[in-house]
Amino acid sequence: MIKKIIVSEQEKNSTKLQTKIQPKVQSKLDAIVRNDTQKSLAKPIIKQAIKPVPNIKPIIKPIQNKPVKQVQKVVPKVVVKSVSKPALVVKPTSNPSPKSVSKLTASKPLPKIDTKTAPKPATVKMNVKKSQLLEVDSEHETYFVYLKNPLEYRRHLLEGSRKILYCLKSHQKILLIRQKKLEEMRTLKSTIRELLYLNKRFNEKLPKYNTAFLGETSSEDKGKFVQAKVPVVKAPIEIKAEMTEMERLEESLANIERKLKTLQ
Amino acid sequence: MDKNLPVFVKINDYKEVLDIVDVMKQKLKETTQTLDRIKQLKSEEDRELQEWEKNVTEISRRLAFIDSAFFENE
Repeated sequence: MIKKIIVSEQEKNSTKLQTKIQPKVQSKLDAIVRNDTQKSLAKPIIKQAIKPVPNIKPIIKPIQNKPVKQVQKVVPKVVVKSVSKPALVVKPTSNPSPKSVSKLTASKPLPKIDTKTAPKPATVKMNVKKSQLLEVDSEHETYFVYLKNPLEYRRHLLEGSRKILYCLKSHQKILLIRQKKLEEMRTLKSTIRELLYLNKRFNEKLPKYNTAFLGETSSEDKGKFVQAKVPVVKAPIEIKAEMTEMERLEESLANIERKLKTLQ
Repeated sequence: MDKNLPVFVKINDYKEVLDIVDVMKQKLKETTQTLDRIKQLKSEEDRELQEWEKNVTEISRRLAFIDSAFFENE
């Protein structure tokens, strides 16, 4: 009897246990079965889940100097784990926040990447929309501005540099031309001085005439040379050595004008 | 004294005067050539200055373009 009672109690307990355990086991079994079926279905779901990742791309913050590309590779792995629970799959959001991205990436540490071979994070700036500022490094607060057509700007800058060099080149040319011009002007000055000297010599060789005598003659006789005793007009250079070149020239010019007045 | 009579002037060292006149002619020719060269150099200088001005205008235009492109969002 006792055995029967024990057995009956054991059966009761077992049935109780079965009733308690059975739903858990059943659910596990269902999950296993579902897992097999869902694995085949999971692929398109995963793909759907991965699709929005490119939208995240511009806002991805490089963690520990790791490029954006590495982050993108890690994200699908994290999603696969949560496929067994489709409700937990990260839904595509139009504007995913950087925090959600950092959570996803933080669940599994990224492998160490050689910073020398890895692409620079600066490549991110080309993918950002116009007039959209992107904070890449909050510590240094570096911002990047989108340039619509960088090649055009580069071309403009280079052509501007070329023009500046042309300007410098033309400046050098102008300096050379001015130097040559100064030399020519010096030559001209010396030639004119020689002419002045020759003119003086020529005047010395001409017969001397008395202006008073010319004044007495009629207007018809004016201009005719008459021998007369007139003191030779010395060159202004010999008169005053202290005078400047300009003053000497002015004096000689005044002499010539005076002579011309007497002839009229 | 008859004012209608011709006046004869004696020129001493006639040959020397002629030489002086020749040298003066030569020097005047040299002067004309030098002046031509100076004129040519001046025109070259003016041309270079014009080129300079053109380049500066071009640089300012490009700079204005880049400036507007970089700071249009401000």
